Amino acid sequence: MSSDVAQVPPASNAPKVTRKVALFGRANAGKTSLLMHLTGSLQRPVNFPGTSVESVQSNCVSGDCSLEIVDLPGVASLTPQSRDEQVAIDHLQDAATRPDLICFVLDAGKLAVELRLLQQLRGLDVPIVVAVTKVDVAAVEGFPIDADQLQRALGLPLLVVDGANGAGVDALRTELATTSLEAIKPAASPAACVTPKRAVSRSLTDKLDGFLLHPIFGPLVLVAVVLVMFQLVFTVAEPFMGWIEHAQGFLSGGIESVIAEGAMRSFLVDGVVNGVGSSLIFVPQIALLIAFVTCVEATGYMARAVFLLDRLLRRFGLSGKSFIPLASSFACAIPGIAASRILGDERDRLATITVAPLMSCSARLPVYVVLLAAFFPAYQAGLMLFVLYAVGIVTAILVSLILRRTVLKGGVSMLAMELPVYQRPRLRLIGRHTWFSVKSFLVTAGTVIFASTIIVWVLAYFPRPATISASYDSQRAAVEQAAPADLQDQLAALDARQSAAYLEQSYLASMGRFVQPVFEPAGFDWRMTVGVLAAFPARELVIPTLGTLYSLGEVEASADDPDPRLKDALRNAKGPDGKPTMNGLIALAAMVFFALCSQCAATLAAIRRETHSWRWPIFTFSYMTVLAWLAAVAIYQIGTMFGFGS
Amino acid sequence: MDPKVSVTTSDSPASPQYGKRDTSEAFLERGDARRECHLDAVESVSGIGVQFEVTGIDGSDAVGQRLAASGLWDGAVVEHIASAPFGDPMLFRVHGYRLALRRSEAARVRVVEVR
Repeated sequence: MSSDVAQVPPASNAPKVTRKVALFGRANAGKTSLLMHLTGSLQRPVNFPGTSVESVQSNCVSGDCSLEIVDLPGVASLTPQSRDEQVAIDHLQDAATRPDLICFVLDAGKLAVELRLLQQLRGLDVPIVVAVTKVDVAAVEGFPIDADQLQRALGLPLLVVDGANGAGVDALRTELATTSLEAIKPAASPAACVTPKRAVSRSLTDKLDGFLLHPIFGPLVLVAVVLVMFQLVFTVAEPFMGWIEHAQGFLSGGIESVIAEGAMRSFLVDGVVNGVGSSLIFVPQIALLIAFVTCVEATGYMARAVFLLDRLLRRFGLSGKSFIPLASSFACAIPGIAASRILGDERDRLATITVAPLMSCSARLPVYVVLLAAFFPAYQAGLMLFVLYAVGIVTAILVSLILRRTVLKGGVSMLAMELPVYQRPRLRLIGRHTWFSVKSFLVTAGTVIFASTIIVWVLAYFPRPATISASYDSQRAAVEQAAPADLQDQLAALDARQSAAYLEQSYLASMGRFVQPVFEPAGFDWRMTVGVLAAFPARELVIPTLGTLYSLGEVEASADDPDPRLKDALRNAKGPDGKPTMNGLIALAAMVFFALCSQCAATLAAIRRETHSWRWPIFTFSYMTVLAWLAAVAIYQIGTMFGFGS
Repeated sequence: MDPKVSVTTSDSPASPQYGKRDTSEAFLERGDARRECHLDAVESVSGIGVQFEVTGIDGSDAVGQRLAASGLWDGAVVEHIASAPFGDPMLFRVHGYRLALRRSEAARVRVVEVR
């Protein structure tokens, strides 16, 4: 921008003034969805207290005024009790960030509490516009509010808005842009506006809570919800995954028919299509999982889960509120670690952050799905998947217990949280949020995973010594000269043996063999070892890497199935001694390894950001990797002892 | 204090509805001679759905401040509406919304029954 302050804006319709507006209110008042309607940008509007954990700025224009709106974390009082609240209150008081105008988001469902906070806020001497949300909730709960009366009593500009459909938001935007920035007048007595007696005896939420918080049915429903989540991921995603697989096969076939055999064709088919395709195929599952978690949050049930689990989780050195970060971590640990800010107590928070990466995230799912499909019958796969998730959860409990008895002893843990009124989830918002998450996965798949896939392909394809091609060319000539009845089969077998021979002496194989002794006790062959190594920057790389390795070395691929999928390739892979290199036991050891291992640089970066030190990411990486190795070795060794490995 | 609240002397005999809980533990001796108990003991005093009025919070540390900011200031009306399995945490209605408190947090809030 120009440094000349007196310069006239070039365009005639450009805004003349800029106003800094802070959206301020208690957690779960509806600030985030209000911001979305005000500015049209996508936030994460969810029905759980404390989700807007970072202050996000978004701009919009109204008339000739440009509004810079900041969504502040939820605050219960002006005396901060958590990092979140400190962020919000500092923002209001710091001279550099102090807003021109506060938009106080008032949840009509708890008017008395809101008015107390608003009264404190007036002391800051910043102009205030009140946006009243959840008027419908207040009416349903039997405490209807009279907005006109409230406005007169408060003596502040006041508008009723609907966070769900955006009604009243245009008027609010205009008010924010045009309202006077002069000092605010003292209030009359707004307390008179609070409905003293409840108008209904039992609301829908009361009835639902009667069942969902029931001492027996409540926990049963909770278990059912979790089971439905896992089942959904496996069954509903299946047809979509089939389509992607077909598209991938179609594309490979197309390339093979156009481009002649050689480095270019191998690069496109084995490197690009197989590599990227094998991560794209999990988009349906990731989308379903994220949509489900978002939906549960949006209904208000997530807070009930916290309520039901608090006592249990406290025994494990966590808090009921840890359930939110931990449940989010099943989709991805990074938002989970950010969500841990809702935990007021620092020790609760550190314990939660440290164990959150043990929850099996959606990036681990591909590994489970492929290995389960390859080595376990379909009726066992669902149960085994549950076991793998349980391995992560049980380990998390043990680690948390140890931490709370050693380095994270003591602390004042608090629950004191609101259980919101049940709401019908807004499909549009869930859809938009899911799309947002899928898009960020696609960006990762399109950049990091794609680049790494190509590196893996290069390392696996080269070198190509002439001795191998000469040797196989002469063998091929000999076979053709003999012209046996199964000529085509024999030629195909020779081709497969040739590509296997190339792979066996590739750079990648040398690297894998160098490190393989470390994973030998877990039963991994060099290919699985390479998969493990390639996955340390991001575990999304496991399947593309294995895909490249096994499709390049289609060891004795059967002639009737010239394009074996990865699971078949895994099952059929044989070592130099002719014995299969993979079996159910090794697959289990590998899956448990991936379940426990810290293979995500982005997660470690998130831990660094949230804990403000390198200590916790280094600790998390070390303990997870050591545990993963020990568990994989234990499973393979004990399993072999009992004869499962043969 | 609110004169509408019925006054019971603290030396009246314990009635059976107090349950297993020791009366001296459930009730506090206060100067205003009203029968006061802590919010975690309300279910032993009376059933679900009975309204109580907050008379104070023990301690002004982070927990105490948080409780006050959640609406449990003096004179606020609280109703116990549910408990999680094994009775902890507990769910209350205060100022028209649902507030979940651990037993240990509820034990910081002093209340009297609204009759």
